[in-house]
Amino acid sequence: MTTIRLLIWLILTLFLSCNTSTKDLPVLNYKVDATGNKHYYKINYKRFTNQLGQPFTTDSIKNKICIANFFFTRCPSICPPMRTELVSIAEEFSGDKNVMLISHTIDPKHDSISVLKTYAEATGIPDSKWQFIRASEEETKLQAETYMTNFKPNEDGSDFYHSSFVALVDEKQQIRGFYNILIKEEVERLKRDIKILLS
Amino acid sequence: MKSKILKYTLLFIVLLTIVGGIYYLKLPNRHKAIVKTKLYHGLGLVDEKWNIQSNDSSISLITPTLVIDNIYKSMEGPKVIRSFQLDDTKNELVWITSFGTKVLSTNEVDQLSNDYICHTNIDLFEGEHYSRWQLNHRIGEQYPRLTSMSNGIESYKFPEGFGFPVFTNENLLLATQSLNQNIIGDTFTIKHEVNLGFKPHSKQMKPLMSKTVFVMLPYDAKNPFQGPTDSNPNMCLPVETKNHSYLNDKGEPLSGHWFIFPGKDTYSYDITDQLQLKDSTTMHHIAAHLHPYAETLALRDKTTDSILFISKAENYTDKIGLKSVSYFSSAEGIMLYPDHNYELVLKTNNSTKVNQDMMASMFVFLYDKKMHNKLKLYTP
Repeated sequence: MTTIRLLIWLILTLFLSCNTSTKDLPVLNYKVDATGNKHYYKINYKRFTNQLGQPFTTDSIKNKICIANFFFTRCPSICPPMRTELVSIAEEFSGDKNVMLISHTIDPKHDSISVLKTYAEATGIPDSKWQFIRASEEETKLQAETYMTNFKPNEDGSDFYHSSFVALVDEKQQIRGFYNILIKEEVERLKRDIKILLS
Repeated sequence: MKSKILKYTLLFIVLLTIVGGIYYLKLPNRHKAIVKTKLYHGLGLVDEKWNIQSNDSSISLITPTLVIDNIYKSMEGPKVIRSFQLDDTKNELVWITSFGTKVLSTNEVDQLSNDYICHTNIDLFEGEHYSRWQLNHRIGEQYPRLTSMSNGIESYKFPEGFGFPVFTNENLLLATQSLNQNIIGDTFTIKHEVNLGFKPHSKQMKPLMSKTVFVMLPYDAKNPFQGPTDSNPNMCLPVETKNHSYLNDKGEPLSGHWFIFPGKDTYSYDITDQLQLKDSTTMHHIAAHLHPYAETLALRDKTTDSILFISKAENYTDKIGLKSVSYFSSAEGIMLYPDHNYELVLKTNNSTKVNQDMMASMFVFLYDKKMHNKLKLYTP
């Protein structure tokens, strides 16, 4: 009997260790500073407001696993297909309360709180799961830098240069991965890495 | 009741198949290839898995199977795309020094003719790349292409002591597309194998930055497919207007993928704006991307009226394709100046009786002084 129990325990341990083969995700939130050293920082929020008109602060992401991107509601190019993928991610992790999506608008002049609210409602995802946030352009640019990206309006004003990559942030506000959400395999990699952070 | 449901369901399926079939038949060759590749891989009809192997000095990426069932001109063939990292288990600075692409049989061992490579592009995730080095102004400055290999120029390495610095867990994007200019009839399958060579970080290495320059020609926005006419003799005939189409400062459309007519021709385009030189620097490597029937692509300093480099394309005589395309590689380099104007001059010879498509690009690698200053201080 003891031998059988030991065997079951061994098999379970082996299974769990395989299952949580927590391939450590790298910590990517650092910059090489002027002295040549890696300077690590955390993702913080100040002066952002969500689609409900509520302040969005660092406390809003504490102990959360976040998937963050930069977008604008009038985007004619990459945002619509990105939104489709993000909806599928929000649905897949709908039961995990500490998984949250954050979309920063890069067009705060047009994307008012009411515009963001309408856009958020159209996704069909609860507000608590997907936060659409805005701040001044200057503040948003600084936030983009912390997420290691950038945006700028195109010359003809019809679109912005912005990225199709999303960042994965862990519960300690550290960036753990970047994913090109327009590539199917990358969406799968993102989902896998969210599960790794959850486990 | 049940038979009625069955009847209408069958009718709906038949209608859907007819509409879908008509839609598919109207698609251009390249879009048909995308649909077919998705089906082949999605239904598991052919191997849809990537085989990626890496060690301390190289990474090899073998693609899913690509089905060649037709003539596929440039930019038309089945293609695959994916992100990858040199080694996602480490966060070490390394230097990419070489690139290679080849065609394999589906057994992933036997090498096949490189005639089935249209191009293999390697792009950066520029946000991650430049942000780490606090060079945020470079994000979005130009298309983040690191390099491209193509038919006739399938492998190359940087001159000794030069490389492109990346962290091993940085995202890179690979897109590789097949080509088949000659074989009609039998369907066959291939894979591409892409190799990148890299070296550990060393303070002796010098960084290169990549700039893509290419020939673009004006076309008539209202009647793009009319080509040059008596009233508009300087217009080109674009292959399409959705891709490889750009606007100049005056808002006029330009095409980077156009048809050349039978016979010899010369095209030139000022690339000073594409080079975006802010300071004087040295050019150490050039890889050209050309299509069959190109003869030479020259990089010319217009200010000094001198040719800096001529890439020579050798065409096959018994089939369509490029046997080789020469590239430039030099540790000493050639000086480029921000107050000079530069142009590309393309010479073509379409020896057939029909129009052929053409592209002409150079992936130019320049010494990156700003990055070098940062790297000199870098402490691993």
